[in-house]
Formats: sequence, C-alpha cells, structure tokens
Amino acid sequence: MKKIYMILAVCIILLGFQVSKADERLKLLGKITSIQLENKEDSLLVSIRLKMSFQATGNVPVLLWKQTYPHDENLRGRFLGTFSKIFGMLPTEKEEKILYYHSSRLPSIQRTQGWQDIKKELDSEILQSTQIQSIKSGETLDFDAEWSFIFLKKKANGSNDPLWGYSSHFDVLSNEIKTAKNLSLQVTYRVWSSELELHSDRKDKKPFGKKLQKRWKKYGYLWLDDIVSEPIPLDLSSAVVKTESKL
Amino acid sequence: MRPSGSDTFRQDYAYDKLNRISTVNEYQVTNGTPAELARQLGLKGNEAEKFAKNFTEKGLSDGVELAKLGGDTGRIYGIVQDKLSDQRKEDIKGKGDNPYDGILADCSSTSANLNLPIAGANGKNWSVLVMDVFIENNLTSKSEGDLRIGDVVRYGLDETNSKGEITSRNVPKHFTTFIFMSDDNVPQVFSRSGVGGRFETGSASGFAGKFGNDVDYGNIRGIGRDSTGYYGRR
Repeated sequence: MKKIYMILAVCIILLGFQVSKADERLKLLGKITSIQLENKEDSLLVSIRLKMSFQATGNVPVLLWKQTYPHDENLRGRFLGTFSKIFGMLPTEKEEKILYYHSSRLPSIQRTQGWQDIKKELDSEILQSTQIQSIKSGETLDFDAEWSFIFLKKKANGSNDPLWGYSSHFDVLSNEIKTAKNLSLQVTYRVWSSELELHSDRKDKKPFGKKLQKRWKKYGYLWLDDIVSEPIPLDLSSAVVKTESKL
Repeated sequence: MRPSGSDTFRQDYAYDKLNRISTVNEYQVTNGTPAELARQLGLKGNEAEKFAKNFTEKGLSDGVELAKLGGDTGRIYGIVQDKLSDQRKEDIKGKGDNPYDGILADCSSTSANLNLPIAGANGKNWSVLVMDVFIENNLTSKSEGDLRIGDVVRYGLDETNSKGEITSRNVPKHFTTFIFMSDDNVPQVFSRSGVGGRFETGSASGFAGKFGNDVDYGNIRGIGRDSTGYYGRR
C-alpha cells in the first residue's frame, strides 16, 4: 500500500513538473495603451487598447498557428480573445479578488472546405510558413488588442439573477472597482482553433495538434493550449472620457 | 445580453457552503395561470389545452419546476437547467473555462438537438452550414408572435473582405433556442455561444451583432427569402 502511495506521489510531482514546464515555454505579456470611457444611456462602456506580446521563455522556439481563418477576414491574423477578468483588492479585504469577468462569444463550428484545406496544408512533414509562425527562444511576437467591458447603470428586472446577463457589473463598478486598489486585468487567448480538431463526445484531446506537435519537435514546440496573460496593471484614472461620465 | 424580465418565469438556485450560487436549481412559475404559461411557452390549440389540463390536474402551482412538466417543455428545460448549472460551476472556478459537451458542442448542435431530439447532432457531424440544411429539410419559417418552445432563431451575416466588399451573403453565424416569451413579449432564448462556448440565456436580439472584440453573429435573419429568421417544426 505504501508503495502505491509513493508511486502516486511521484506521478503527481511529475505531472506538476510537466504542466509548469509547458507553461514556462511561452508567456503572454500586455501593456495598456489607452482606456476610453463612453457614457451611454443605460450603460458605461470601457474600451481598453493594449500592446500584447508572446514571449518565448523556454529553450526551444514556440510555434503558433497564424490564425488563418478561411472565411472571416475580420478574424484572420487576429488572436481570439476568449476570457477577461479584472482583479483588485478591496479596502475591507486582505486578498485580491476577481471583481469582473467576461467570456467572449466564440465562432461556431463551420467545418467547410476552407478549413479542410488548412488542415491539409498543416499536415506536412515540413513546417508551413503560411500557417505557422515561430518565436525563437528569448524573442517576442507583438500584436495589438482591444477589450471592451460594459457596465449597466441600473438594475433591470430580475437583476438579482446572476445568470441573466451581467447585471451585477454596475454594482461592481460603482461599489468595488472604484474603491479597489491594485487593479489588474488578465486576458485569455485561443491559439489553436477548435475547427482544426474533431469535436468528439469525449473531452477534446486535440489529436491533430498533438500529432503535429510531435512531428515538428525538431522545429520547436507547437502551442495548442489557450494562454492566460500575466496580470496587466489597470489604472482607470488615466481613462479618456468620450462623453460626460462619472466613474 | 440582458433580457427583459418576466414575472412568470423565475430562476431559483442552490447554494454551496460559501453561500455562492452553485446550481441553477429550477425555472419556476410564479404568477402565471396555466393558460398564460402555455401562451408564453408558445403552445397553442390542443397542445395548450393539454398542457393547462395536465398542469391543473397535477395540482401544480407557483414554484413548479418546468423541467418536471413532461413533454417538450420538460425535456428542453431539463437540458437548459443542466447546462446553466454546469456553466455556473465553471464560472465559480474563475478560470474562464466552459463546460465540456461533445454533443451540445456549439450553437448549431445545441439548437438542433433541443428542437428535435432525434436530430442526432454532435460536434463531429454538425456545423452552422449543416444546421441551415437541417432547417430547410425539417423546419418552416414563422413569425415572432408564433414562436413555440424549442423553435430555432437563426443569425446571419454578410461576410466582407478588408475593402468592405461583400464576399458571401447571409452566412449562418449563430443559432439560439426559444424558451419563453417574457411578460413584455420579448422572445427569450437559450444558447451555446460558439464551439466550446458559454451556455447562456438572454433576449433573442441580445445575441445579435458584435460587442467589443467579440465575434460578430450578425442579425436575426432567415435563409434565402425567409423573412424572419424564426423556425419551427412543420
């Protein structure tokens, strides 16, 4: 029995090492370049522009899919932001907490010939520069990003129901974000598209991506997971107000 | 994504040890009469009468769990509750993950399976394009006032290139499922927003368009010459 526990403990340690090892290969850093507040009739829109940087921090280059969405030119070449959250420390508390979060809408399954063509092009022994970009160890890949947050100004009917939209955000803004210290923003990006994998009834293991990851080992590490940025300091006092707005 | 409120339909929750909402326990009926409830679910004629009769005969009243009503209403609300509960559990973790479901994998497979249990849609065999074909073969266009629980709402967009020229017209981008008409007659829908996306509810129009850096779902729009973008079983 003791032996089994020991083996289990070793497995857990190894698993932890694997995860942290993978995380150390790539970092996502961000810097806010502008914040704009737009006062609307029923809401306050906060638009944040950022300079984001993927930084290869491991010993091997990191390979990223070039986001060559076959149909939607608005998405093409753009990393897809999937999730954002604002952290802060309230005067009454000793620890930071999540004050706001937002899940973005995602594209639906298209499974068109365009996607098949991309898969065919990717499924090659040689790295296809039309589909994959490489970040050498110690180098960065920069991109511009924009995130918007909407805060409702008043409670609508049923606003105590947290699942009905994002009703609590007005309260969060007025009562929490306003008084919180050390505000920071953390954003998540999707790097590998679900459209490149089959959507099975079991948890998606990204078999196509894993196959390429193994095949292209000599070129670097193909990044498949969503990536969460490092916390980005957020100073709302630097915001430009588009119309009269009281934060 | 805020829907109008409804006095008739309310959500109730279960709480975890830290007093955080952990589960969407049930959709409750509060003030509605059986006939009013049937109307807001979009049931008509014999179906509405049968629903109201069943409701009354079983001695149901305020606080009834819609998932336990049987028929399409019970089936659809059962799924809606399960999925919203799963979503809430992920939200509490705060990592930005959404529940995994290979059957209800995206908006198209979710709305197909909710509309027709034998649709057989899943993440492997379905897509927004397949959903358009499914609609053309199985459903018929209808008006907003005729919406019935389980009906499909379609969202389409003209795709453009970097010069702003239209490259493809009325491309299907999103689908939602009608679940009830609010007291102020605003259609309320359930949706999975994208592949592996959020399970959420809101007004049908709340899912149209683009917000911030989000993906653009376009507008509520029918296939070809279909005028409304609302579809129900033939």
